[in-house]
Amino acid sequence: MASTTPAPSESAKPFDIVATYNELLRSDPDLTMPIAAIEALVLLLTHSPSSTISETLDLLEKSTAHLKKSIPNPIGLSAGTDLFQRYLITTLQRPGQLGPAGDFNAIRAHLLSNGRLFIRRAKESRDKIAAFGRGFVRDGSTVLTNGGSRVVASLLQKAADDKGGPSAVRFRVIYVLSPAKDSSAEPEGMETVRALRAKGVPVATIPESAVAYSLGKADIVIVGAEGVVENGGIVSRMGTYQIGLLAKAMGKPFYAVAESHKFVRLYPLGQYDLPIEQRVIDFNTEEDITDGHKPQSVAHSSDVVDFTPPHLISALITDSGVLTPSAVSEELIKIWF
Amino acid sequence: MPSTSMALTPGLASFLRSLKTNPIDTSIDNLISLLKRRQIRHSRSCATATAYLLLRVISACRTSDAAKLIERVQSVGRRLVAAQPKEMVVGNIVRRVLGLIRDEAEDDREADFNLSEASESQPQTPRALDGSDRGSSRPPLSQPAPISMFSLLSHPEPETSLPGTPASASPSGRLLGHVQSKDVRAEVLEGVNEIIDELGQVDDQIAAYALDHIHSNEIILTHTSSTTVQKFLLKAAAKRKFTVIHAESYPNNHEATHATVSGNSTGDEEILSTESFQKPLIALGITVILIPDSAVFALMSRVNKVILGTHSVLANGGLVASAGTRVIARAAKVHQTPVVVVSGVYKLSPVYPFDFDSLIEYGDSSNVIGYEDGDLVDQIDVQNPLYDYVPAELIDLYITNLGGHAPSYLYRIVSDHYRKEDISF
Amino acid sequence: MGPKQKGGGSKQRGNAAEEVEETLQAVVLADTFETRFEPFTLDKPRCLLPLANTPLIEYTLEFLANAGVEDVFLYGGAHSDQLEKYINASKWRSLSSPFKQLAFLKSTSTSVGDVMRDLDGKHLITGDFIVVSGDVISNLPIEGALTQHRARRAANKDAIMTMILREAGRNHRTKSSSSSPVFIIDPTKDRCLHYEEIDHHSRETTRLNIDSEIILENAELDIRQDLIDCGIDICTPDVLSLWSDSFDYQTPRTQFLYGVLKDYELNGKTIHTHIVKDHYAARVRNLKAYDAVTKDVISRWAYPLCPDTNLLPGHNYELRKGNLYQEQGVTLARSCVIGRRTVIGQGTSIGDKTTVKDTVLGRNCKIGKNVTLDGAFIWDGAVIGDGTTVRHAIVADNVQVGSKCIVEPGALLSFGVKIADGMTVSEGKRITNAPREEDGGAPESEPEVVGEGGEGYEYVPYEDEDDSDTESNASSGLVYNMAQLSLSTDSISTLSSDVSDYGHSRSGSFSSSGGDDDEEHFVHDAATSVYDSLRDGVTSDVVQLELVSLRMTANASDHQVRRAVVSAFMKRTQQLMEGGKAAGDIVRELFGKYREIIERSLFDRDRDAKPDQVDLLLLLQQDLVHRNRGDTVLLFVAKELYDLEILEEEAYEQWWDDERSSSTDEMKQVRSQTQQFVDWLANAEEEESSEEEDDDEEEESDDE
Repeated sequence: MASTTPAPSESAKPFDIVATYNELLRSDPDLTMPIAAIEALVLLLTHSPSSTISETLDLLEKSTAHLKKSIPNPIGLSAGTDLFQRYLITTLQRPGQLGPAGDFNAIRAHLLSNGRLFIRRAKESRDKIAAFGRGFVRDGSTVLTNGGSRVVASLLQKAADDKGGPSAVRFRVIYVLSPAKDSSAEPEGMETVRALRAKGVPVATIPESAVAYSLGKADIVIVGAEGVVENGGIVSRMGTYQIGLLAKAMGKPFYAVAESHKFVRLYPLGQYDLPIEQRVIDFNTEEDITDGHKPQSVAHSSDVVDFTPPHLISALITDSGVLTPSAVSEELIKIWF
Repeated sequence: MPSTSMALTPGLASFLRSLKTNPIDTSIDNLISLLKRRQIRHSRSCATATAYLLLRVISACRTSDAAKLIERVQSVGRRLVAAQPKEMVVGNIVRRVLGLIRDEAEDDREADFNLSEASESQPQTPRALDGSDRGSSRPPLSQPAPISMFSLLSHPEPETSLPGTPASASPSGRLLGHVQSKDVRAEVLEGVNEIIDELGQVDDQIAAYALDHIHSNEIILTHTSSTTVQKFLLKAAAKRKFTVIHAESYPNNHEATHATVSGNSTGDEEILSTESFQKPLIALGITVILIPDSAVFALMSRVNKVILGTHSVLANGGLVASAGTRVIARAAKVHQTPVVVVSGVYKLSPVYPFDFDSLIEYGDSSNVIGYEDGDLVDQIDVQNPLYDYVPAELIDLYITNLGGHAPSYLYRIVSDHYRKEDISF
Repeated sequence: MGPKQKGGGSKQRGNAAEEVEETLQAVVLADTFETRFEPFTLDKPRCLLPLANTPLIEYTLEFLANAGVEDVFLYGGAHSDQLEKYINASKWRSLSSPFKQLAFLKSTSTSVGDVMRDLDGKHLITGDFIVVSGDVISNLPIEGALTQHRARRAANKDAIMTMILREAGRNHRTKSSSSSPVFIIDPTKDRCLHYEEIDHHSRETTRLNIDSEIILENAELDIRQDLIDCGIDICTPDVLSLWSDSFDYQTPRTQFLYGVLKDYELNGKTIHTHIVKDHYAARVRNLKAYDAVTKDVISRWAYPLCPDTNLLPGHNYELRKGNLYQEQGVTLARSCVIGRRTVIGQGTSIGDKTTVKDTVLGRNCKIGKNVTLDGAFIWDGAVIGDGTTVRHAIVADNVQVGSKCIVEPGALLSFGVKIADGMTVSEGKRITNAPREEDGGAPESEPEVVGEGGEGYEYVPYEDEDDSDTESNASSGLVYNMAQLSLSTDSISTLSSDVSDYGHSRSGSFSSSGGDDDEEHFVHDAATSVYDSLRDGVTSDVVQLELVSLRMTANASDHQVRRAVVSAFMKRTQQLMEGGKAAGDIVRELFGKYREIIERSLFDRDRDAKPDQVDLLLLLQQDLVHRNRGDTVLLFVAKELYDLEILEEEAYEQWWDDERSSSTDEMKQVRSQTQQFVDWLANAEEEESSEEEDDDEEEESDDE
């Protein structure tokens, strides 16, 4: 281990990328997984003074693999690590005026010195999305949303903030809440609900089972996403897929909100094609249970994800504009090929 | 007497005539009021008027600085769009002209930049990085906009946060020799002229695809008096025999539609320009069946193909077209009849339709019931939407002057024709 | 003679028009010399009053621009300075204005007739022109009518005018419901043969008097009452000379049109109609029409003249579902309900639980909580307190209505009025804060009307109370309220307002006369007859006889007789003066010879109040306002009437003190010279008190 990863051996204490990643996520609740991953990789580079390109790339690859392996759902984070890697490679591959070595140093310096900047930009891109997405919330409309997506929350709050401004809108929110992991904690999303209510937006909270019942009263559906895959579908918290299906059936527009750094190079063909293992459907017999195998309780939505195929999505609201699902692959192609 | 009466009413013809003599600001205000008063309407007329106006604006603009030129065109464009936000082609033309200016400015800059980089060795890495970034990342398609996904990690330059705003173009203007920048304007003018040419030829270009799509003995359903559709059908009619079912599109366009079918085209202001209206389909031996709009669904089962014209096409593949289009598209969907939309690329708007309702213009209520019917007027609210929004999933194929495209592919054409930075100018 | 030459000329021009484009000219009567919009017109010219938040004149100019008019002559009336300022700042004066020329003409006119005569004198009109009033709203392309008009004129130079009329069925909100114009038309030639207005409320006039010849001569006749007269006339220059020839025509329809049609035998001029079945055309002729046209504009009947066309630069209305037009920057409380057919301007805020429907809200209005607005017109900057209800009323600029008020249907709150909390503004009440005309000072607020701390007073149209006033006062509310209208007893007749420009003088004896139409005709006929007699030197007995017989036939009032007489006398005086005679001599000669005629029209000798004599003086004064050297003539006439003992000192005194005689600047101007005479009279009177008898004797001897 020490021989393959030079970082721990050379720094004072060994650099644990997984711990760093988890720490970053914990310390800043606003941070998204891809950004935390990028941030962790930047910190990794800080701790490893290696200066040759191949060494660095090697290091990155190994740490990324390690990180992915140790996190139960690496889809979101892999978007960040992939993006970081591609950025390094494409910049290095360019025939710069000063030669690759000079470029490399420059890039390294740039990356190391600007760690916080990336985080700031990531948050800015949220504002940008909110600005784009504002247009979707019309006066007098009712928005149905779910989960604890920070982008969706900032979009809705932005819309509520414009009160009295030139584009003031009055809207209502139906918030789909799923029960929290342990019954005492409040469900994810309550914070947003409170913030919206404080701004004077009437919010109704409904359980997931009431979506079909409530959708008739909603005008649009806006959901967040953990990752946007190549075909334009989204990977997002459990329960989004069914909302998408219902919205389609009822002819309500269904919008997904995601920063463009969440675009991930995956091409899932269905729910069970995601590169993660989720024990949502857990068949058991009485025998299994007596054997000591604890039956999985109903999946906790904050941990498990489903895949919403592109044909259910009216549009993706991203920081590079409002995209049709098919435009996502174009964006990905642009960085990979 | 018709000659005098024709000249009386202001419209596209009188605007184009006055454009040559009037000062530029007068022409701008003139077009704004013509748009507001709906004296220039229909996509093509609006597009033509806008293109000619911008041609004048640019040639009258004495500045050699691309940034200033962009600013000028933007300010004019904003006013035009505000005058009639529902004529989206106006904004489209403005965006294309802006894109032209940017392209020309950047072409010059690039040439210039390579030179300067070779001569003055720039040790300052961020600068060089940026230069190389721009130079090499550009695909041959000339797509110089920074790759959006990388924008997160790129350098903290103004460019990245505000991609391609005048800030990025202005240093180029200053860097450039003045000889070159003069060329910018000339080239832009040439480009605008190309747009104008495109507007003139677009229908014929679209019609060139007619034989690929219309086959012998087919039954085609269409509605409205769209010139594009008529030319498309006429082109096919020259070679093949088929049947056309024409929905009359009451109440806003039925008279023009009747005239189109019968060939007694009354000098409609839209068509009075160069393109003298051609022979009607019936003159070419095509069977044309005129039906009321309400019969569309009943007849749809016999129809092989629906061919529709449009008012404007949106980036998400949906479209805004004369009222009644959605009913037809919907009926076609139910009967699994392919729906083909013919439209010039100039009608393709990069604006995402946030609120479909806001795109629909409501017209004259008296087209629906006569104003003289006092009792009804007082007691009934009459609404007369001129347009329908048709979602992308009801459309099977778009035929533009560039060929046939699937609705989901339109974003690609949008990104080819408009610069991202100009989408909300 | 004159007209014929001009007619020939216009025919040549007509031929030329086919080859060369003729500049189309238009005359906009920005003031229609009516009082329908009082009390708002006390502060603002009528054509600047907002309709759906756009001044009326904008619609009219827009219509002209649409029609391709290039020269516009705008005649201002009251508050013409405000109008001029507005026009100068507007887009119509900018370089890009569609008009090549936009001339703002000021005149001292008090009627449409005067404007036309003034225009004729200015020689500005070169060819066919359009006459519209400054309150026309239309999306009609005019070329159809114009082409027909030109064709007719080319065929027959006597086809002098084409009126554009909109077909509107039997019942229509935009039609006037109190009196309706009746056009009798020869449909084969589109020729108007007879015109009359029917007042729905007086039973006597609900029949038409059609000349039997009209019926005999024409194989086909349309008698139509279903037309909206939108006040758009296409005229040849001959029309102007006709106006000039008929010195006493004041109104374009009841007098000019009626007169010209009646005198067809004489002058052979024909007037045609162009009846349109599509497009929108209407005039905002009164508050009821204001209400109806606003509805039409909001419901897009006048498309593209809709709020979301944003005619004015700076407007940015957007159409939402249900004909709801909203500008950017409107603050709506979450729980307020905005109903259909509503317009809301920028900067307006609406409080919680407020319901708004069928309402036009201007810019920067503040509407409180729990307010109900239904069918209201709230202009810019108005403030409506919490819990207030406003239904079918107009609340003008910067009015403040307190909390828990009720503004009942038909109430009109003019500029700057303040209503205290808890007040009820009852139906049809008009409240203003404008300075009164005569003394120029703002009167005391009336707390019983506006509440403690409120500002404003109830506006009573004319100072002297008589039933015509109270009637029209009450009707302003009714006029407004659609539902009651079709059956109501409202009786604001078009005419009584149309001729109210005649000065407030007439109102005194006016209400007694049954039909206004008859009166106008009588005055016209009688004046012509008397004038002819004066010219021909017929003896006063004969003239008197004729006058009496005319009066009997028409059942005319004394006031009308006096009007006719004054009109004829003054015309004759004028004519003789033009002949080069001295005014004093003429007056002495004329009045001396025909003294009896005037004497016989006065019935208040030796009474304390002298209404008839005062009326005569007022009529004289009024008539002389428009005449050359009117002030001098008035002095001579006054002196002569006194000398002839037709009028008594008290009459002069009462006349001088009567506010009607000093109501306008022109009136003051024309009587200025008479000041010395009145002063002298007053002095003489003082002396009289001491040596009355002697004086009388002296004067008598003087006369002889």
